[in-house]
Order: sequence, then structure tokens, then C-alpha cells
Amino acid sequence: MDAPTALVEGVLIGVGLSFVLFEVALNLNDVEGDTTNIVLEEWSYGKFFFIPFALAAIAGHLFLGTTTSFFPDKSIEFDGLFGVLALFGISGLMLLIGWLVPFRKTKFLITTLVVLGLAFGHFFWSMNIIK
Amino acid sequence: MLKTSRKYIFLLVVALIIIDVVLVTDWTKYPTFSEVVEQERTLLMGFTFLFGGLFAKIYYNQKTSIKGKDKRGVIIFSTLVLLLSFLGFFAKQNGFTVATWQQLVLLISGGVVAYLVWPQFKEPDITSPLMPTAKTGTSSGRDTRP
Repeated sequence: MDAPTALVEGVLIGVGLSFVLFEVALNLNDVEGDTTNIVLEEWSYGKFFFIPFALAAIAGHLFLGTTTSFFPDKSIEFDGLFGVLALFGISGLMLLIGWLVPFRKTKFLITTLVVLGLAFGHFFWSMNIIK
Repeated sequence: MLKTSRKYIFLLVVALIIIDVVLVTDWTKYPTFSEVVEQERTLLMGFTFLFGGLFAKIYYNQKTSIKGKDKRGVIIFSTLVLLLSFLGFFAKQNGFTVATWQQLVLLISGGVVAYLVWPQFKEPDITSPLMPTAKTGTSSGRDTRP
């Protein structure tokens, strides 16, 4: 493994470990409901309902990914850039809606957003495209 | 502490996004976070399972009022992640590559296992009418709060 890759891997592992330690500390303290999962759930059921979609899109991007592009005439770089811009655009729109239009978010909606996010990451933000 | 944790989570997410945006630009010779994960998918199958589990912990989190169940859940889940990490290491050494559908299975399995074995401890609400009463020893079974 080359040095730049090892450095980025090291940063990922370092961030991951410090996050785990932080979560352990939050779990052991006397304050209830301050761990990341509860905070993210609260935000998702509130104004920031783009979070389940965005997280699932990231999961689809990192772990899944189709080998066939939706844009066969374009370059691989286009596919990568399109995925990022589209995700930002969709998340921005959902953020705006969440801020301006208060409505009740159900578990069904959250699950739908998770499935759609995974599908988005798999089909529109794939790292496995073969040109 | 609640405000601090939210601030920390927000700042961490923003920092990671900024770092990744910098890495994406062509002039850096460093691979992006995504590229590192994509290159090492087989080795990181434990991470895939963990990601699925963390998803379930956010949106499909079971609650328990029995102390110790959550800690037991952490130990069980962490053990499975560790086992899968070793499996990923040996799989990579032997030239095995995880297919996309297998990645999906790992993600969903992580979610299912976290849902089943890793509840979140929550102090029981003693003011709730659903708590067992002293007289009967059982709850009314219905929420009669106004």
C-alpha cells in the first residue's frame, strides 16, 4: 500500500476510533439521550429528514454500486460528480421542505427514504462503473 | 453535555465532508475516503456489517429497561464485527472478492442483528400508567394519559 493511501486509511481509522470512544463516554455519563444514534434519530424525525436518505445514499455509494452507468456516453468522472451534485441538490431540497413545511414523519416514510437512498447510491453514485 | 455532543457530531460531519471535498480535487495525490473503502471492500466486510448495524441503531432502535442488556449487545455485536474483520482479512489474502449482492446481505444482516441483540437502555418512566401498580402487580395495558 502506498503512503498516501495508508495516510487516508489512518485518518479514517483514527476518526472512527475517537468517535467510538466519544460514544462510550456518552453512554456512560448521566445524561440520557445524548448518544449519536438518538440525536440523529431526533433530527431525522424533525426538520432534517434528509438525513436517512443521505446516509443511505452514502452506504449505497460505499458498499454497493452498479457496473452499468445511466449515462453510457459520459465519462466515469461525470458519474462520480453527478452523484455528488445530485445528492447535494436533493438533500438541499429536502432540507428546505423540512424547514418550511412542518409535517409528521412516520417510520414508513423514514424506511422509504432509506430504501430510496440506497437505490440512489447504487444506481447514480456507483464506484463500480465499467466504461 | 447534550449540547456538546450535538455540536461535536455536527462539527465532525462537516470536517469529514470538507476533507473529502479536498481529497476529490485532482491536484491531491491522496485517495478519497470512498476510494479507500472501495479498494478494500473485502478487507472491510466487518465495516459493512457495522454500518448496517449503526443504521438500525439510529432508526430501528429497540429500548430496554433492563440494565446490562445494552452492554451485552455491544459485546455481541463487536465480537461479530471482529470475526468478520478477520474473515475479510483472510478472504483478501486468498484472493476472494465480495460481490455487490453479498455486500447488501452484510448491510442487512448488520441491521437485523443490531435490532435483535443490541437494545438501548432507557430508565423506566415511573409516572407512566403502563407501569405495574402496587395493588395488582400488573399494568392496565392501556395508555390513559390525557
